[in-house]
This record gives sequence, C-alpha cells and structure tokens, in this order.
Amino acid sequence: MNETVDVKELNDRIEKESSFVDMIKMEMGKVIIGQKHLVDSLLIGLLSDGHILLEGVPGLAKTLAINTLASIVDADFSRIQFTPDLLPADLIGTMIYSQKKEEFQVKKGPIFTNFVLADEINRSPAKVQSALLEAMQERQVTIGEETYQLPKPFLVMATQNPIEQEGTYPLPEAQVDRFMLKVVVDYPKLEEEKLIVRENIAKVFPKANSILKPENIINARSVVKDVYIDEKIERYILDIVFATRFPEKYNLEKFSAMINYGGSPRASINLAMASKAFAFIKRRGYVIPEDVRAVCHDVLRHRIGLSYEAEAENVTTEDIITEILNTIEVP
Amino acid sequence: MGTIKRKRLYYIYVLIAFMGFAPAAHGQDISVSAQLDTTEFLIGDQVGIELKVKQPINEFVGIPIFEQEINTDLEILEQSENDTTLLESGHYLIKKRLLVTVFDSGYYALPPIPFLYYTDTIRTDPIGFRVRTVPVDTSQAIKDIKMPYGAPLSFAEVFPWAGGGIALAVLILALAYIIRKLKRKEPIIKRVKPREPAHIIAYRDLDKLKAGKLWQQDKVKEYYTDLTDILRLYLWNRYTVRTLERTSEEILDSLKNIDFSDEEAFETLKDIFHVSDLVKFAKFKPLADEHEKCIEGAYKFVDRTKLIVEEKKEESEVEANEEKQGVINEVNETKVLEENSISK
Repeated sequence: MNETVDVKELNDRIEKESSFVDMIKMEMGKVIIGQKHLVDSLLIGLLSDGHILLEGVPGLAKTLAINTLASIVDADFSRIQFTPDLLPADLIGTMIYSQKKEEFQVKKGPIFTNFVLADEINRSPAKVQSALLEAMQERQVTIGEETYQLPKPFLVMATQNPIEQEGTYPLPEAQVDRFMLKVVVDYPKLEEEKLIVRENIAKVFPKANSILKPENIINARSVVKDVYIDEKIERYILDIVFATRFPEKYNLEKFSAMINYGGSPRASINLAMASKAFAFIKRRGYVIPEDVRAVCHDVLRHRIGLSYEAEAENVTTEDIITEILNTIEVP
Repeated sequence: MGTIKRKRLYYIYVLIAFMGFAPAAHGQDISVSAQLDTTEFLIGDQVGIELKVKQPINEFVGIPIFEQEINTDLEILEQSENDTTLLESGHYLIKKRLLVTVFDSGYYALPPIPFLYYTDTIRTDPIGFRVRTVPVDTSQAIKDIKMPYGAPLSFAEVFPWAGGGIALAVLILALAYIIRKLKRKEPIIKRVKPREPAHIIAYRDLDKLKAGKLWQQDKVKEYYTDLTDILRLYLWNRYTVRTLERTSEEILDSLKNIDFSDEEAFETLKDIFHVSDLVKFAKFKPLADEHEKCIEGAYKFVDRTKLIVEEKKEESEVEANEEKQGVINEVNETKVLEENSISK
C-alpha cells in the first residue's frame, strides 16, 4: 500500500483525466440505445486492459457496441465469426510462400487489431479457442519462428449464445477465467426499443464521432492503476472471493456442496482492477464498496463452478454471488 | 368324534337332504328360503348362507336377527343388511347374507330359520351339510407343533406405553430441575431480560467512542469506522434494516424504502456516512471540528429517531396523576363549599 499517495490530488487528477468518459458515453448513446451496463462494461474492460465475454441472444447490439467503441477511439476493429471449421491460422495468420521472392512471408490474421469481436466463440473447436485465449493472455502471437506483439489497446469481446448449446464447444473453465468480465446482455426496455426501431427505420442511421486516440486509452489505463484502493476494500474483495471458495467460513454452509470450485487469484486481481476502473468511470480517485459490488457479478459469474447439487436445486452463480454480497460485512 | 355318532348324523344328513327338495311356501304368495353356498367344506372355512323372502308389497315378513350364532355349532362371522329388490311381478325380494363357520368336523344341519308373518311363523327348510377335517398324510413323519405366529406390534398398542414413558421421563426431569433450583435458591422460572432499547445501546457506544479520544490520538480511520458501525448497529436494532452487509448508499436507500420521514435526520446521517466513507476509503483527514460535528450529528440522529415508548408511558402516568389531582381538587373544593354552607 502506497501510504504517501495524496488522494485529494489524485481525485482532482482523475476528475480531469476521466472527462472523456462522459464524452464516450455520449457518443455511444447516439448509436446504442439503452444497454448502459454493456457500455459501462466495455469501458471497464477497455480501461483495465481486460477482455469481455458477452452472453446474450442475437440482436442485442453487441457487435454494434464494440464497432461504435472502435470508431470513437479511432481504433481498428475486426469481427471474426467462429465456426466449426475455423482454424487457428484463420485467426492469428500463417506463413505463405511467395513464388516471386522465393521465401515464406507472414500473413497476419484478423487478430492483429485493437478491438476484436469473436462472435459465437463456442462454435469453434478447442484449438481455435486456445489460439485466441493465448493471444488474449500474452498479448502476442507467434507465427512460424517470429513472435509479434498485438497492437495496444487490445480488447477482445467474445460472444456466446445462451439458447443454442447443440454443436458447440463450451469454453473450458481455465480458459473462461481469462475473461475479466462475463456480461449478460438483456433485452432493452419497451421505451428503449421504441427508440431503437425509430432510429433504424429513419433514413440516416446515427454515427458516433471519433473523439479519442488509442494513446489516450493507454494513458487513461495508467491513471486507472493509480486509483486509490484502501486496505479495507482489498480485504472486502478477498472476503468475497474467499467466500466463493470456502463458503462455510462465511456462514454460507448451504453453498458448500453446491460449489465445485471458487474464484481464482485472477478473480481477486480482476475484481480489484474492475473496481478501480468503475471508480474511474464514476470519476472518483478512490474505490468504495459500491464499486466492488457493482462489478462483482460480472467478474465472478464465470469463475464459480457449480456442482450437480446446485443444478438440481436450481441455484445459479448469480444467486450465490448475491447471497455472498448480502452476507459479507461491508467495511 | 365317535363312529356311532358319526353314523347317526349321516342318517340325519340324508333325511334332511331329502326334505330340502320340498317347496318352501307358506301363507299366501309368500315364500322364504335359506341356501348354503356349499354343503361340504373344510373345518374352519367360512361359508355363506343366503336368506330370501319373496312377499307382496303390502305385506310384512319379519326377517330374523341373529346375534353371534345360529345354534351351538354354527358361528356367525358377518351378516349383511337386508337387500330389497322390487320384482316385475309386484313382489319384494328381500335378501340377507350370513357368513358362518363351524369348528368341528361332522354332519350338521342348518336348522329351519323362522320368519314372522303376523302371528304366524314361516320357516325355511333345513339343509344338511358336511364339515370335513384336513386330510392327514400318515405316510409322512409326525411334525412338531408349530408355535403361533406373533402378530407385529401396532402403533395403537405401543402408544400408551411410549406416551406414558415419555410423560414419566418429563415428570422426573421437571422434578429434578425444580429440586436443583430449590437447592441453589434460584427462581424456578427465569424471567427473560427485556432487550435493551436501540438508542440506549447507541448512546452508550457513542459515549465510549467519545471517551476513547481516538481522533485525538490520530486514529481518525478507526474513529470513523467505529462511528459508522455504531450507527449501523443502531439502524439495525431500531428499524431492522440490514446495514452491516450494505454500503452507505444502500443503507440510505433502505431508509427511503421504509418511508423514513425525518428529512433533517436523514441529511445528518447522509453527511456522516459521506465523511466517513471519505476517511475510510480515500484517506481524507477532516478538521478537528468535523470530528466533533460528526459525533454530535450521530447523537442528534439517535435523539430524533429513537423510539419514545417510555416517554409516552411517562406522559400517560402524568396525565393519570393530573386526573387524580383534578379529582382531589374537586373533592377539596366540594368540602370547602360544604364547610362554608355549614358555617353559614
């Protein structure tokens, strides 16, 4: 813990540095109606250098959201539709023999971009998923003998369809853990959908303006890391994550048989990082328990393994997280 | 059973069997009959006897009512209600079934069963029947007598004993408890201490916090942590609002949800929580007078929101006293008036 940090000065700095957040939200709001949680989650991922797994039925503006974000940041964007016959080379690139130069040349894949939308990631076999997830973790790709760094910022937003499970390859727990957030995208509200319809049948579809450069995001990330997180909040985060592992120690004995495995240390790290990013979005230089609670579901829902007992009892990870938050004492 | 007796009974059986073919008609258009399901059965078997009466609608024939046996040999196990059918011929056919058994082998006769018809008696024909014993295979070795099967214990059988046992055990325990309490000179029934009111606990804790002089020792964070903990506990005790697992914002929202109407108290609490959150999570160091202001605000909040049951009680007591005093005054005034009138 950096005891010399001046939170007041930091608060002022963040107040100033985070002004672009409102602008991003405003520009996003021109194109994306509603889906505030999705937009906030994208910003959290963007600012804390984490990737996002989105779960939602088709047609909820997932692609449009990331496309809009890419255009606002003036960054490159590519969408990869994951299919059963997709190969790792289709994703990361390959070596192609040039007859003219009589040598192998590197042909980089669509992953070499700032924003990647991996659409229906669970439709591709494990080797393709592994190639993507490795790139996500290492931020680099090896083609042939050469290793290539991926551009910065690099944000992967993968989607999963919750209603069609046949012919899919569910992501293994170890790999799904690499996503910082798993966001469940829900249908828009009635009033929101009215606006969506109106916007889409109009002659001109609104377009977001480019207001940021990728460098601004890199700078913002460094400021996010400076957001002050008190020891009490750290303890609160650890209590939450430990409660997913040892529920009986937190008076949650009823979940002992329902949880096969709890959040990993990566869950604690990501919960702290996401809380910082959320505080930054709220234009605050310090984390409060509200920030932790706001991101807790998104950070933990894919990191808790449920047992058959839980499935039989119809207990979901959402229920477990909610109960944990309602049980652990807030500092 | 002796051979002579058996032979005699056989002749009776044959005679009765011949008599059984005679028509069973008596009186005018009334007939009665008795019929056995079988005329030969094993000892202990249960056999049905069907009694029938055919009578015109406007007549009455009294069907006999049996108790436990027809005679010393025939034991009745069951008997049905009378079953009346209206026949196309304009007669009633009344049927009654008896389930009988015989516990000795031999030749028997179902005696004529009497049916009352006004002053007359119409009887059924007697029926002979044979009761056989179980055939014994003498070529086999003699087997030992089987002991009777034990019937499983039913709940109804066990219940009185079990209930009595439990009642006795409870009585013994109660007596032991009473004796122990009497020996120790303790009251037998302990009075439950009433729960301390929320504001009393809060005042005590706030006094303790004040006396602890935490912020004076530069333990500002601890001071605000304790202060918010006291207020959270108070809110829980006072309004049963879950506070320990909720953030400041959530606690304030919960108060709004329970229609917390005191705006000033709400704003005071909000300010305290705001400053406390800044101290706890943002290293904020308020000025000395801010510390005092916060604890005074906490006292004020408790003052404004405490339950005033006791005060009401006191008020009612005061009112009662006032009423009492009023009556006394009236009596005194009456006395004075009376004295004055007497003196006049």
